[in-house]
Amino acid sequence: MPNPFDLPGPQFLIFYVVLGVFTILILWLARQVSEAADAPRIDYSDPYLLAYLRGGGPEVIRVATVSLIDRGLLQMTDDQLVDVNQSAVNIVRRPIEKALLQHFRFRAKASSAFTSPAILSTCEEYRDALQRLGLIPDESVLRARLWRLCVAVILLSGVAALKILIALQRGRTNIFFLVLLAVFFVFIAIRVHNPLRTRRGDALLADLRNLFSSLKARAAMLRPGGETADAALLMAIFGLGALPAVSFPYAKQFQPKSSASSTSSCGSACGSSCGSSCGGGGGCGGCGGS
Amino acid sequence: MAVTEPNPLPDLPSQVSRVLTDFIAAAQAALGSDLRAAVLFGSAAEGRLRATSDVNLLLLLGGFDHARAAELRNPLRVAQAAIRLSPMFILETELPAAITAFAEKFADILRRRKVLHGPDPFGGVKIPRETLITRLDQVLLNLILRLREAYVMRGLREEQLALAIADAAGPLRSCAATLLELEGTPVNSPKAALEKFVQASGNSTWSEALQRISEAREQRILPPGVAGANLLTLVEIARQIRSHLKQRT
Repeated sequence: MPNPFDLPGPQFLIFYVVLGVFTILILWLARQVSEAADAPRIDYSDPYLLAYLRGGGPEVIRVATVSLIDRGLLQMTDDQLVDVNQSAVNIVRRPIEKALLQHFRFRAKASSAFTSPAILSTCEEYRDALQRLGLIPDESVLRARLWRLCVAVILLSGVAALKILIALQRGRTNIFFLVLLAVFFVFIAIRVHNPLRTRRGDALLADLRNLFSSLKARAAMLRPGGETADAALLMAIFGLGALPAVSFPYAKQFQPKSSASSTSSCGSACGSSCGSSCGGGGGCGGCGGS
Repeated sequence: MAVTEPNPLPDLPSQVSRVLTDFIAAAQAALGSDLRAAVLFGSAAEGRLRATSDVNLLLLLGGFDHARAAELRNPLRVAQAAIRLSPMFILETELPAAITAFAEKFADILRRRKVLHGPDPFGGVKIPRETLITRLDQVLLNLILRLREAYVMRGLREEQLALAIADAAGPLRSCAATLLELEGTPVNSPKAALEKFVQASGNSTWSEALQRISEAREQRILPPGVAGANLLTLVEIARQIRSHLKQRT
């Protein structure tokens, strides 16, 4: 078998592409194998727990805010929110709802909720609960993911660096494509290695989407007012985009700028630090249109 | 990978079966010995549940302990969202009076029920004929008045009329089934009962209207210009059932 570092430029690039794809595949497979995939049965009654599972801390804040507006406890004017009644904070049950109502005792920009330490700390409770259930990565899973990433990055960048060194020693300077490929594969490896959920979390979310499929099917018939948990559960499991715009026109303002950012982007950008910094971190927070 | 478990209620979609089983388990845990029976009724009991159907469940209680019942709040909200569970909390002592007061509804429960927990509370129940006739007449009259109101009030929005037709289908079918029972020619299902009644009338417009009912229930919308006339046909059918009923008394 020939030494790959002796291969001419174009052939080495093909070798490197194969190596890159193989490395990314192994990185993905290693995660699939090492993380349990059975969906546990959990209490579905807290929509905010399910919202965190789907999209992290910002989704909890979005779902809770829209839910409070729907229930008539928060009032929205342009991009600002204020509580409707000072005593409302005493009648809501969930800590995130209390934190939001306290935050909006005085009129404030809706997006300010995503950077409030008091509100973000309530999201941490959901993160901890999901970590205990193995639905999002805990420290040990994160360490294992990071270790695998390091191996992949060292392999990808090491092989590229060595070839570049050899090429330069041989007086060749056409290394641009190799550098480009190396950067590309390292970027993909970083994206792939640490999604928001574990495999078990993915399985539970898929199970939830199946279980509540009829709720999504009748979404257009949902009535605003918060009489039932339908709207909150719909948002939590399928995202704000699933709410009918006719009945819940204000919800659009809270949607992430792209739906992808609430799942994949937020997943990778905030997976390791959700709760403490996911309020607006990684481009996944903030109040979409406001 | 989704959870795959054996379906304890094979006549129902797996999600409905699972949520229903979970809810009854939660009801047993919360209500304890107060829960005497859980009876599924309506289209779910018949195994003909549609995507838009409610899942009707009667919970027969020895007593209503508010603290215990409060423990059912979360499971009920989840089940309501997931499968449109619509529960009836009724005490054992209230059952005879409820059967009399809502004779037509309970006639439907007697026809279409599945006991999911405890003994069958309707095993030996028979609704007095006169009570049933009186209540059936009230239900039909109420249905006619509501349909007329919908025709005038919601007539400018045809999709709303289609919804009114879809909502009226269940009660109208159930009334037809009760009428056929009173006439001594019961049929298997309320849907079949209404079809039999309409077939016997020989009116082709009515037969067409029945097809539209199914369409409205499945799609929640009807072709342009159809819903208004269809709704008025349902009023005619309801009036005809009433007329038959009067001949029985």
